[in-house]
Amino acid sequence: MQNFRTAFVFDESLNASFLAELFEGDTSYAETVFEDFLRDLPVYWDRVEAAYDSKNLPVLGTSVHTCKTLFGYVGFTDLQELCQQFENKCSVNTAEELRVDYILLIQRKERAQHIIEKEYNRLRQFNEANG
Amino acid sequence: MSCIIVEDIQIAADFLRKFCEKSDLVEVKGHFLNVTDALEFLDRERVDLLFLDVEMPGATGFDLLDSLTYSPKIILTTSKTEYAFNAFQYHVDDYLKKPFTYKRFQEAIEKLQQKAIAAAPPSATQTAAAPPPPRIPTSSS
Repeated sequence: MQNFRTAFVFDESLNASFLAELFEGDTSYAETVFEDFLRDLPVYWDRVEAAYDSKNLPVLGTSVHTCKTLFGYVGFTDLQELCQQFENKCSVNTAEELRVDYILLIQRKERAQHIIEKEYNRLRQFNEANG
Repeated sequence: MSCIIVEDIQIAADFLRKFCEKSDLVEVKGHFLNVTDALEFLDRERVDLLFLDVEMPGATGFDLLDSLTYSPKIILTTSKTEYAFNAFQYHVDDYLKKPFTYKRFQEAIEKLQQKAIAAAPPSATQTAAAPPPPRIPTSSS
């Protein structure tokens, strides 16, 4: 009897078809990338917060730009787009005008972080079970 | 071909390195987080290809291009489509929008290979004298 390895199914909030193409079924590498994301995002997000608090909009834009790339590599293509829109606004709006968008970005970032934490743990369990 | 990766985001650089290794066509000679370190390396050792991010701390990828003393192949890697016009002005060889898959990476490398083949001088056998044209029989009176 053939033993078919069950494919890992990513959370529905992630762009599963993109992740399938990006990782090509390599769940070990996906685990590494998700781990790297969880390690790096807080560092880069600290810069976003510092830039917003000091109302340094050019640095805010470039800091969000960096986070945008991270979100893309773990399948949050919609959040990547939101970051792009925010980044564009940094060059034309004031900090006060950006406040609502900034709060939304924080909420989406925290939700994303929570989802990736969960996915990382699922990937670890999956890889251990299928290793 | 040899390359360097100039990229300040580690995840992005790791993907590129992995893709290069997978292709077996591109050898990564180094990864640099900023333009200054990359230029210092290129002063010592030239590579065939640069994978070049645009927005980095300090100087941009375009600043690096302005400082180059030779003309390697250039593949820009960025998450902004707004740099496409600048890429055109700098005559870069390709433009990869992050995050990109291995398939897209392969397309870029194949494009470079095809360009190299097209630009290569013709081989000796191709320049050998062409055979004489066939004789066209004339009608007899």
